[in-house]
Amino acid sequence: MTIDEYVRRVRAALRVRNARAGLDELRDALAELSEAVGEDRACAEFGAPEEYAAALDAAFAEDQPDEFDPPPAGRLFGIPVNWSVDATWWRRLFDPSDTRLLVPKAFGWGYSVNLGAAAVRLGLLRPDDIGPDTLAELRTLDAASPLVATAVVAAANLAHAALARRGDDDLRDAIVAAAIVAAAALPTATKQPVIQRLTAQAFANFVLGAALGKAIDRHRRGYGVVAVAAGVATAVLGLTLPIRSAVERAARKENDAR
Amino acid sequence: MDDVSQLRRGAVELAVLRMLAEGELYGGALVDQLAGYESLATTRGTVYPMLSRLRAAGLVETTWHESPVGPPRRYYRLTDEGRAACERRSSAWRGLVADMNRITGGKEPTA
Repeated sequence: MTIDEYVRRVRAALRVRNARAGLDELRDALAELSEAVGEDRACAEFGAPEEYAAALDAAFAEDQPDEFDPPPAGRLFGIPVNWSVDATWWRRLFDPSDTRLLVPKAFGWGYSVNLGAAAVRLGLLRPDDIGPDTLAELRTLDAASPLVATAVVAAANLAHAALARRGDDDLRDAIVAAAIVAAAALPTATKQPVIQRLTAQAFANFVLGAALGKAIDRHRRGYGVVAVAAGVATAVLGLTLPIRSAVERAARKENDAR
Repeated sequence: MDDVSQLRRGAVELAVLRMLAEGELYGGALVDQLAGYESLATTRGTVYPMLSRLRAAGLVETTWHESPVGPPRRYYRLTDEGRAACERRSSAWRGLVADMNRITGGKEPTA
């Protein structure tokens, strides 16, 4: 194998973008060794390219992922960007063990609020309340009732904006909010785990509160903040109350088993 | 991540295992105990994800205890595998420290 081929295979196997910084050093080291033993032998002594890539990944990884860690976000103009969606997307919007209030967006470019960090700061949750045992204790009903309430508010807002002719800006915001609330119902419609349903709904409540706040502010300046605060409160409480109940149930179950 | 962070990561994890070897603790208590050591002091933003990783690796397990304030609290303790890993890493650590002290100890960096 030639040095070029070896480096190319290492590069192709890398998973951590930053680890490419180690390729120049690898090429130099291979070139130095090849002067003594030849290219083919030098490459053989460095082991399989895929194994070398894994070692480089480990050396350059910023985070050691665990079962809950979301995929690392890339960056565009220094701002996080994430176009991948997997089963841990909710962890970007709700991670009590992460102290950051602003985290890379679950999907898209920029930052979003980590409702989990907010709940911990408000003393509503502990950082390690989320775990396989508590997630297993979340109930389908926990997510169903708030979804109906959110949908009713979004529909009422949309109907009022259209029928009362509040203006194009109000109607546009109401349509966007209703679309996001509808999208937030997708995890429920597709029977995803309850935590995904709850997180999606919390995000929808957040957006709905902001849309209502903007609309109210246009007509009664200064009053919009009430709707925004209500949106934040329902987002945080809609997530934390079911989790606190799940914690109680998990603890009771364990005590009963003893 | 600065150059010292990489060194600290392994050290903090071993310190957590050693503290749990003395008895079960909740996450906040671990953060407080680490804060008692200047070079190991860290935030809960580091400790809780670490505990989650250790649990996923089967080195620690959790149990719930009633708390005097608020809902039940999760306590962490070593599994048998965790106890063995703790001993193995402690032994390796002592060897590393001894060798690194021989390499770095007492020598002033040259300009």
